[in-house]
Amino acid sequence: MIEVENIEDQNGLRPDGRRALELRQIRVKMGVFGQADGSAYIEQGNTKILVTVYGPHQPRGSTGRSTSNITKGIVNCQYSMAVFSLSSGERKRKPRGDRKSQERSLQLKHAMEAIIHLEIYPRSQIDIYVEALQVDGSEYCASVNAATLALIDAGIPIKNYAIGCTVTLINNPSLEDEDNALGKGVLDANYVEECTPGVTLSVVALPNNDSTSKDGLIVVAQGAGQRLHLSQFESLKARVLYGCQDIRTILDYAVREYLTEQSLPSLFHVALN
Amino acid sequence: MEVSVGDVVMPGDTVKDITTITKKETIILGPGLRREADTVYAYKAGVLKKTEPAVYYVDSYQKRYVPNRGEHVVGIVTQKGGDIFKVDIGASEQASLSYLAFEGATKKNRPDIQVGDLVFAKLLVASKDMEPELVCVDSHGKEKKLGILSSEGMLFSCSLSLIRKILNHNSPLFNMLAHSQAFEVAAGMNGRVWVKARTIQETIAIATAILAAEYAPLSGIKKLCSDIEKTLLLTQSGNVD
Amino acid sequence: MKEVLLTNCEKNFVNKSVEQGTRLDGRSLLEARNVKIYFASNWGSCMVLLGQTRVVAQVTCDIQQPKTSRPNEGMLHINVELNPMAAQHFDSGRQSEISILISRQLEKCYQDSKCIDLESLCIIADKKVWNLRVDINVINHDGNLIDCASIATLAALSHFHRPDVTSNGEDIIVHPFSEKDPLPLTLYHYPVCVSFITFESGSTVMDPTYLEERVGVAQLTLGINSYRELCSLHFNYLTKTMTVEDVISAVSSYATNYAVQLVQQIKEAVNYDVEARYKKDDRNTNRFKECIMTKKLTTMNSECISIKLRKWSEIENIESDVDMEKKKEETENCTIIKPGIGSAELIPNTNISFGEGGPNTWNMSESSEEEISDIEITTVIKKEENKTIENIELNGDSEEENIEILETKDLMQ
Repeated sequence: MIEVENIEDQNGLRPDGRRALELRQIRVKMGVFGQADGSAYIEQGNTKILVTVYGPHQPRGSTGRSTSNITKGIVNCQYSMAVFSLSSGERKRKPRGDRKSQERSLQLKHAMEAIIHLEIYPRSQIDIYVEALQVDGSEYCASVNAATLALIDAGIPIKNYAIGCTVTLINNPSLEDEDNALGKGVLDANYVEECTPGVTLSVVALPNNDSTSKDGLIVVAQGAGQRLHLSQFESLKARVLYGCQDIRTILDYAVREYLTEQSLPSLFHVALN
Repeated sequence: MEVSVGDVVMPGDTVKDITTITKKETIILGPGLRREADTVYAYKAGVLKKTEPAVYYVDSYQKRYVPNRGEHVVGIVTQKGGDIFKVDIGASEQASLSYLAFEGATKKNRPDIQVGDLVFAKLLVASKDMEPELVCVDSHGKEKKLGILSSEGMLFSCSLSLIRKILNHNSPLFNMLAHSQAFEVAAGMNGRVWVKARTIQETIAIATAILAAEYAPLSGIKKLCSDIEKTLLLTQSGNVD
Repeated sequence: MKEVLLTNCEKNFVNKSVEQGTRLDGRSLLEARNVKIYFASNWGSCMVLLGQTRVVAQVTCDIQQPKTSRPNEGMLHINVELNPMAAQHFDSGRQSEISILISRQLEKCYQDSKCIDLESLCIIADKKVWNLRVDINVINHDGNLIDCASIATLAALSHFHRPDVTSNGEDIIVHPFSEKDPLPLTLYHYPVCVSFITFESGSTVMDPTYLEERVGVAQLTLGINSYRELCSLHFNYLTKTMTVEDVISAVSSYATNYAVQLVQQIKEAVNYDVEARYKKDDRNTNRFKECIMTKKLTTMNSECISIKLRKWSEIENIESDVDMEKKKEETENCTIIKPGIGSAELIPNTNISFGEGGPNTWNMSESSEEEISDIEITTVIKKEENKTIENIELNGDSEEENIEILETKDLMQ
């Protein structure tokens, strides 16, 4: 494993030169399409996700009919990975329909259900379409972030940002030393780090509003990879919540900036009249 | 095989008693019996029973409810729309219940019912070709015991034969339970029972008693009730500790 | 078909009772239901009962070409089937949400955690490897399908034996069981899933029933192995309430302890059955046929009563113990009745509980005259001995108690 050696060599830095708690660069663009009611594009390093939101509208298709609960709105999520999205260069056989993307769709749906005020939209449906254009680790979390932004762009009332973040524990005998920052899990892992024999914990949390407390409510959590001893779990959780808080700050800034840009012409309009 | 009253019958058995009757009296065939030419066949498995003067039926174990006119059922309100509620009574089709079929209800004064609430109602129309219709008033416009069931209680389902058993006038279950407990119960013929007692523990105790009654003969009911009482005391003392 | 709507009444009641620390079936909050494991006649097939939830698992194997990415490893597929047999709202056609979640969870737990030594399943690298397939069929749904399915998967995998193969250069020979003994799989560790449901009040219950699953607001499934390592984690918020504390840390230590116990139980059950097979001794094994109990009036009693008080079974046990003692004395005194018991026990039920809705009594054979006379003798003896027995037992699994029914009947006459 080349990467493992790299970690050792670079003296506490990760293969791509980040420190343990450092995120990749996040670029955000909201309102990228005219057709959709809301859309957002996010880049977390090389992971690139595009999300569009349609709705609320009248329920369509089987999802609308089969549900027995009509007092609340329905969220319909579709997660698809473009066939050319894999960074290893392979082509995916089909963009969606496999179990992994079905599971992703479901978890995305649960995460979105947790933040949208569905009770004010009875008998209606909100569609969220996610397209992963390029995948380089943490794609589920990036799509949650993008979906949140798209919902904001669509003007759908939400309770809080749903922020996804991953933490990866790299199993490496040389990193057993407890003082080593990398030994306790790294945030926002890229594809190479996710593929190392270790554990990746993806968490969607609703971070607290005041940025001083690094805490939040975990909405969806899932673990993947190999085995993790429970004693390490707590520290991973603390780290991931820290990461969520950071991402929230970045997204919050991006949203504010976007809204100021958008509202300026209309404000002028008001002022002129 | 030929069977007579009190026997276990299987579908296809012929009922001996009826074929041999020569007197000119009206014989009523209840559920589970069917006449073909001169023979009467059973078409359900169960126990053949007779009530005087000549009503024959097969008492069988069943869970799915088939609506019958005039029966009392516990239903779940699943939809509110226009001027009717849709109520799930466990039958093949949802029943309808009019807004006006409540005591004192008028066009202006509608009953306060939410989706998911329980109603204890009587079947006004039950025909195989039509949607069943429920009412919560009798013919004098009075509520009697019908109406909305409070959401404080507890709902559970059981077999239809158990309901028939506990609602039978000869069944001592409720009387005996009432000696030691205070509770309200609404047992619908559709196999749904709503129970409300003073505490959670007591409610569970009553529900246990009702469910256990299915496996107890008439003579065992007394023992069952005392068991329940003992258990309840034990649990309560346990909680205090 | 649609699921029956959850009533406000059930919601209220379950929430309130959990808040008070009681559950409808008499368990305490962090108590799981009993697990029963039965094996079928062939290797790698088992049925698991978790309370009323029932799952059948079957492991099969065939030889396939390996994936290009992993040329010297065998393959493992887990397939979960939820058909409308288990519950009326399951769709037979497409994969439902819950089946995707269960199969993904099991995949993470057993595939991704490298629990099976897949390299040992390689026959010829890059050409032929064993492909294992676990089929999970849910037969009855009473909540917590995931735990039940994971127990079934683990039991089936550790029970499974594959046929031995020898290869001579190009060809491979698969030996039938008669030629060479089959080989078990190598498991590095034993993961099982443990599920929790959290309610609005913040209290968490373990091993939720179907009703509790519907009422709860947050769902947590941990896949844990016997070394206290986390193999999979699934946490999900089902509804909108925002007042759930940190469930994961609260229950994780409890979950590991339980998982260790559970794995122990599964291992014991599997070992016992495997040894019995090696010895060709089928007497005390847990086979499928054992899960269908003899048809007595009260056999199903304790299982069918889904709503119970916590001490209910205790009372029953105490009393039936007392009765058993009494009975022992009696049977010692009147051994004559022994031969007649087996068939005679059914008769009293005819008299008493017919038409009262007692199930499972219709299979009674017509008893011969002499058996009836045997019973009569019994009752006579008993009347002299003990007239104080009040009434019949509810939990009457023993044959003697049924005789007692007759006795009370006689006493009343």
